[in-house]
Amino acid sequence: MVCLVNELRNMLHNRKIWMAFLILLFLNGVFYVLYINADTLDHSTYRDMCNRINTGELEIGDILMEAQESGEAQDIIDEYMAVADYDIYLEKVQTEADNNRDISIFQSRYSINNIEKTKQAYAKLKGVQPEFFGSRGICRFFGYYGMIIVVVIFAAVLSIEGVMRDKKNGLLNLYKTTRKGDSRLVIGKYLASAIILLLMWACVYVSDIFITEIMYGAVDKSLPVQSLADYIDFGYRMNIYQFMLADFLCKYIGLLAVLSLIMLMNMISANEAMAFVKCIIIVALAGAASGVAKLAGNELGYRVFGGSIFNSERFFGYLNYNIFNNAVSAIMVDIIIFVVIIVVGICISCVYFMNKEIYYNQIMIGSRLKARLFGGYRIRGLGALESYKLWIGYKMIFVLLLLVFIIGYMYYGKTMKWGISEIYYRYYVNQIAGDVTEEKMDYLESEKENFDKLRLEYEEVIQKYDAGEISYDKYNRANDSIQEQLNKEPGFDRCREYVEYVVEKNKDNDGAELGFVYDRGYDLLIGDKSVESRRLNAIMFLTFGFIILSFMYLSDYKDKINELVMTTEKYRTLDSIKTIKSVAVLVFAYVAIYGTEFLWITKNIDLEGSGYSIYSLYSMRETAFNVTILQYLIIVQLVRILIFALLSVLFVFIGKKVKNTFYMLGGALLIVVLPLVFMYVSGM
Amino acid sequence: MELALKGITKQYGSKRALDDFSYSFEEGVYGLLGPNGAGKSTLIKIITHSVKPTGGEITLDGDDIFKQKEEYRKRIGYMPQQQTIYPFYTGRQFLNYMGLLKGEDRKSLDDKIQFYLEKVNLISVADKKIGTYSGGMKQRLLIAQTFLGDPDIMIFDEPTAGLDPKERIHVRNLIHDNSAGKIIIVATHVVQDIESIADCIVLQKEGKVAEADAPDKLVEKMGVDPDQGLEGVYMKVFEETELK
Repeated sequence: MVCLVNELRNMLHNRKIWMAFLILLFLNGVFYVLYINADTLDHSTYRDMCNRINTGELEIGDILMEAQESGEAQDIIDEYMAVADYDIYLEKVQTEADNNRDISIFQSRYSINNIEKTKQAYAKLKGVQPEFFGSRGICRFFGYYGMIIVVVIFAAVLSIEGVMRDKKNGLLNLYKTTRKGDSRLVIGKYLASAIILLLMWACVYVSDIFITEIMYGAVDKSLPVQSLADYIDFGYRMNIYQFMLADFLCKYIGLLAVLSLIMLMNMISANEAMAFVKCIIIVALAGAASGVAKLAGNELGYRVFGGSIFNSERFFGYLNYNIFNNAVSAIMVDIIIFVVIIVVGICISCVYFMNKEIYYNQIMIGSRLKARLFGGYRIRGLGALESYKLWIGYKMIFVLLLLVFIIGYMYYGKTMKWGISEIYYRYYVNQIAGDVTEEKMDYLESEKENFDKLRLEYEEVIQKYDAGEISYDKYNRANDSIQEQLNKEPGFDRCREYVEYVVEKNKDNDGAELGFVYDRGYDLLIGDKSVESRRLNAIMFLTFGFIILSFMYLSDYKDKINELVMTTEKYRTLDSIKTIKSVAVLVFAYVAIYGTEFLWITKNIDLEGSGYSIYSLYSMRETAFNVTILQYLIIVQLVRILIFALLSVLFVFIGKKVKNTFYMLGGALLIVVLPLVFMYVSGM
Repeated sequence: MELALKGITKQYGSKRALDDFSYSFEEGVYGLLGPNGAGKSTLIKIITHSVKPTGGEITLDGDDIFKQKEEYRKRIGYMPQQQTIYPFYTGRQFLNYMGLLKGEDRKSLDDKIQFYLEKVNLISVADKKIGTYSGGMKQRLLIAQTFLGDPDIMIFDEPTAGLDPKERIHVRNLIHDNSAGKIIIVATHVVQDIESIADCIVLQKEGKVAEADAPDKLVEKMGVDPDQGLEGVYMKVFEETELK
């Protein structure tokens, strides 16, 4: 107990742990939002449809019509139907169990046992009444691996700070000489890490649920878990709240097993890098074994090697293992395996701690290879040494790579969602793109007449069918053909509204040269539709910028080495070098973030008509000054760069006064980044 | 060359770290002795330009050092007490970095680095990361960087802390051998380290100069048993303070 309290106190006073806690929590939020945005369905459309159904504003039959063109509607219908047919599903399980019992291949002791258990488990579910509420969001939450990865990284930080740090400063050997310096110390370290890990896990879990509910709508947690589309076949009776608790605890036990292994690796390794490599090897081996087992159809092997820990759907799927010809609940066996890993990991750590020499050796992995490859190369020059310090010494290269990875993750495979109405709106605007001319107005008028004719034609077909003049098949063919044409009408109507706006605006223009311009691309860059991505981009830019700037300018204060550097003749030169590097880093981050977004938009939509007035874009009709679209784009970039530059200068200036990286990053997070995150998540 | 401190005071909130400190340093080796809290570190920070005094004036050959800025910094070498040096640099890279900051010519810097690495006996580990160095090795590296830039004024803050007896003698001799025509100030608690090399001992007490003279003269002046030497002087001057 004394060891636990002491370790806990040490960890709670460790700034690095709290810094890692905040950064990882923040990164988890960013990655989770990206994950939700990568959904093939639009979460806001889905949420709105579900809300309308749940409030009775919309009948499920009403959205059947929309299902053809809307993935969201199709998803809702599937979910609705599954929930409505739950009783049928339960009956089917019972019938299949009875049928399987008579089939010869299911005559082994395990199979009979499994069938009986399954039958009984599902029989207990009679009376469960799942309800539709729109569970896509919460199902995506349960299927999200990212938060586990974040917490595993935090477990590594805890182990490094708890074990490797004491090893490094010789305290571990000192503790060995004390009265309680035995296995109690190792267990104390493990439990202290486990408690902080629980806090991290809870924060990550709750914040992701919070984001899910904002994005996809609130979840009534008192409903049976079978109300969730992916868990309709769940074999136990519990509500969503209880399921969340079970999911939380089971994954936590899995995380404790990971923590135990990471702590063991830290205990037996000479330094952090070696521990990291060993952890990677174990994860890779476990992953490979799990993958092989999955390919071989061995569910037990797949799960034993950790394949199910990240996957709630699989972990909680109803399954009984064949253990000595007995059907044993898979969840129970998985938990027992995790507990065994925890105990074995701690035991080996204790034995190693008590019987082996504990030493720390900072010689890096591959140092001989590096010496052979780069031995003859010496970094010279103040600029090169400063760069080496920042990128290699403080490992900011990984921060930069993380930025590139996040951007890659965001845009790789990201597809632009096109509704029918948008497709035809784009089609018609492109037909008339350019100057406002009489010919174009005539074209629109003729198209309008065509639609009027089509509607008359449709009415005629209905009348003929009602009068029995045409067969059902003929009616269907004619109907399909006309409907296909009429599908263009909502897009055409939008185009006409836009044209009316441009013509009207042109009448009372004060020198503005308006043209017909398809606006979606520009809207994504600077208009209404860019608000969400603008905030996300700003969050990314400021977060990465501030982290790199803080290491560039403030780390010398932390190490107090500035007291030495400041006595030198050319220490002001460092400021110039740092300024140039800051500009380079910020430009790189800007181009990486905004440039990639620009490329993604232009890949999907041609940005034509940039020479016309900004008023040509309907969403920019309230703009205060009349410039061309291109000029406006440039102004926006310049203003944005100026604001970022000012914020960066302010950050560095205050940082130099505060002289503390931790407080500075924390302060920046609270003042600039968190409000942006809040605005982004809440959709303000 | 004269580094003159006139009526230097430094106030940190309600605490006065330096109180009307006046002394003139001329060419030679000075031992700055004093217990914890005597204001040694504050004095060093002021002389090295890291901190500005609340009052008083410091001049080098009659010119205010805070007006000379770069010209003054060009002439000082400083070895700080703390040992936090960039762990990712090799010893050679660190000396290269400091040499360039001190305005050393790039062409001759390599030779100088090699020379001082040999002097401080670090040549065999020169291309290893500082993170792998022991405390004594870091100390010697910091001493080596002090000599770069060929400064006129060198300030060593606890230069022998963490060194074994052989290394202490080595460092002591190194400082002495490079003292010709320079002002060298060695702040320390270890009386023996400066007894044999210092031309003058400055005893600092409660932010003021308590006594200052050549070691043998101080022994005589304070009426201390010659066998006790400077240690006896130290005990006599700071006994009251230590007891406090």
